[in-house]
Amino acid sequence: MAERTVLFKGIRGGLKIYIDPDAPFNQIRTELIEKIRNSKQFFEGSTVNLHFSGKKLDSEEQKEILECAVREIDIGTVEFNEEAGNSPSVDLDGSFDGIEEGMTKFIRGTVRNGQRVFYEGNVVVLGDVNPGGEVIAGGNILVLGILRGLAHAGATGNRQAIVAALSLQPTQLRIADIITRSPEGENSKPAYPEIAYIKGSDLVIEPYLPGKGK
Amino acid sequence: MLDFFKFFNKDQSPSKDIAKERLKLVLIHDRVNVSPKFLDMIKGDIIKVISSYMEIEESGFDIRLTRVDQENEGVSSALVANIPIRRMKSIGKNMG
Amino acid sequence: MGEVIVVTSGKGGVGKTTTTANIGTALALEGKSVVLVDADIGLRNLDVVMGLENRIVYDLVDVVEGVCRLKQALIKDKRFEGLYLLPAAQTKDKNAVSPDQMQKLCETLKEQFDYVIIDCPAGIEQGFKNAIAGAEKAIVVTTPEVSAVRDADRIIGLLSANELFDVRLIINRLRIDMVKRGDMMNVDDTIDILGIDLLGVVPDDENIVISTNRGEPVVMEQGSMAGKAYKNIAKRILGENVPLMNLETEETFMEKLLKLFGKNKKRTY
Repeated sequence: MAERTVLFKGIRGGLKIYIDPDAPFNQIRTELIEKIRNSKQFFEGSTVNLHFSGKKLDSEEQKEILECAVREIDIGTVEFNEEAGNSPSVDLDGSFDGIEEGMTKFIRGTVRNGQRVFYEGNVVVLGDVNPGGEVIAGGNILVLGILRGLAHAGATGNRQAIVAALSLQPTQLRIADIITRSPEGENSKPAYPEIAYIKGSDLVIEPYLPGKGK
Repeated sequence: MLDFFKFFNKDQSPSKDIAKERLKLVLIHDRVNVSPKFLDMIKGDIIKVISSYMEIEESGFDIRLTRVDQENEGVSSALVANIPIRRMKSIGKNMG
Repeated sequence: MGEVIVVTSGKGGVGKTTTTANIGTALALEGKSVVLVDADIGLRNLDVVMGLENRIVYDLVDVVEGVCRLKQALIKDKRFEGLYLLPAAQTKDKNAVSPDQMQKLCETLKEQFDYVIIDCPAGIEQGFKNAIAGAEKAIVVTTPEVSAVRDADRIIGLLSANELFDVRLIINRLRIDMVKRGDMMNVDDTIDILGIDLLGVVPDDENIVISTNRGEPVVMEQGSMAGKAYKNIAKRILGENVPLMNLETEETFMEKLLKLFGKNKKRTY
């Protein structure tokens, strides 16, 4: 499992950047610069608007990042800790476009307590996610097993993303900026596979196989 | 009333008492913060000194830290040594 | 060439030391040469559980620092042929030894013994890293409780991150009465979450407290279910296919006798 700390998402005219809240600043800065360098060609000749979300950076850190970034690309507007929910739902740039397609990382085996998967696109876990384990993805998360840990789909602000599992029993579930926990007192294990998605401004969980009543 | 089952019991005392005694000993060592080889060093020095007065049985030499329950004075540690003597040396014999 | 096995758990107090002592003793009883290594520097316990605490002259740190030869530090257990103990230091802490030093020590021990069993300290810091440095196999001990299982899961993840993939599970302190009432996770529930091979199940047994009081490994106690479980585990380590004990109907001879005389199930001495 790659130790990534920064997720990029290209949008029209700019870049949405989601920063891992638990990562050390040095690692973030290094990764950020590297990724910006790799994306340079997409922005040749145009100004790039930057939208940061995730870890809160202090003014020193923000300054440092921008100083490094401005050497690589032409920066337009910059926003820090933008409300991820403000992203337009139709992206013409489309480097990662939500539920229908996109790069997918496959994890074989169980994600254990203390382990974390951090990926830009979709993540499919061929195993369980145990309590204390975390899966954070820019896209969708599918767990072909029991999800008992934390799943954060659409981390860069894509509210179209979904989380699905053969058995959804997460400690915490997040899609974009919406967070939810298992209802208190309900210790029952779901009898069938379920999907979680955003409807309006609520996070909805329901079975996705036909014939399984609500 | 004869406790029938004590016949099958090879140990004389309840295990908790055995545990307490072992703990007391272990804790002396731990608290005095002395490594067991400290005793080794003392042993070596004692053998040297005593050897000028008498020949001792080194294999039977035993030295250990124990607890001594002093009446009214609480508990203190004591260094106890058992030194088997083979024979006295002439130096010692001629003195006095 | 022997095998180096580390006994670990993450959580403290689940029975690593007792497991190390008893698996080691049981393997020695099967005719193997075994050295037990206490890697819990600063909080040594394996010596006390084995009843060898008053025979310590030198310890693991002394060996690693070259203060003495390995042979001087190894304590031969006079009760069991082929069983030795390398005690931990009591007056140092975990930083007195490095993973490299532990690895070299294990390599030396491998040449002299069939089995090198390392008692790992609780936690995931330096002590843990030292203990696993020289190991090629691991036994994870857990009890059927939420906190222990979570920590065991973490440990299993860390073990595979450190290239230790031969990992087997011992479920300790199982209380069959509580399992039947639904108040304790059963074996399947635990394996479900942890997903590694089961090496054995040890029932909760008062005899362990009593044996530890006396400084005798519980495998010496013929009537103990836990003792029997540890013996079975040793056999499985040696490659024998021993079925899991039926914890429900097994009665010890003493319990049958007590029933005959109309006394209650508790042993009295």
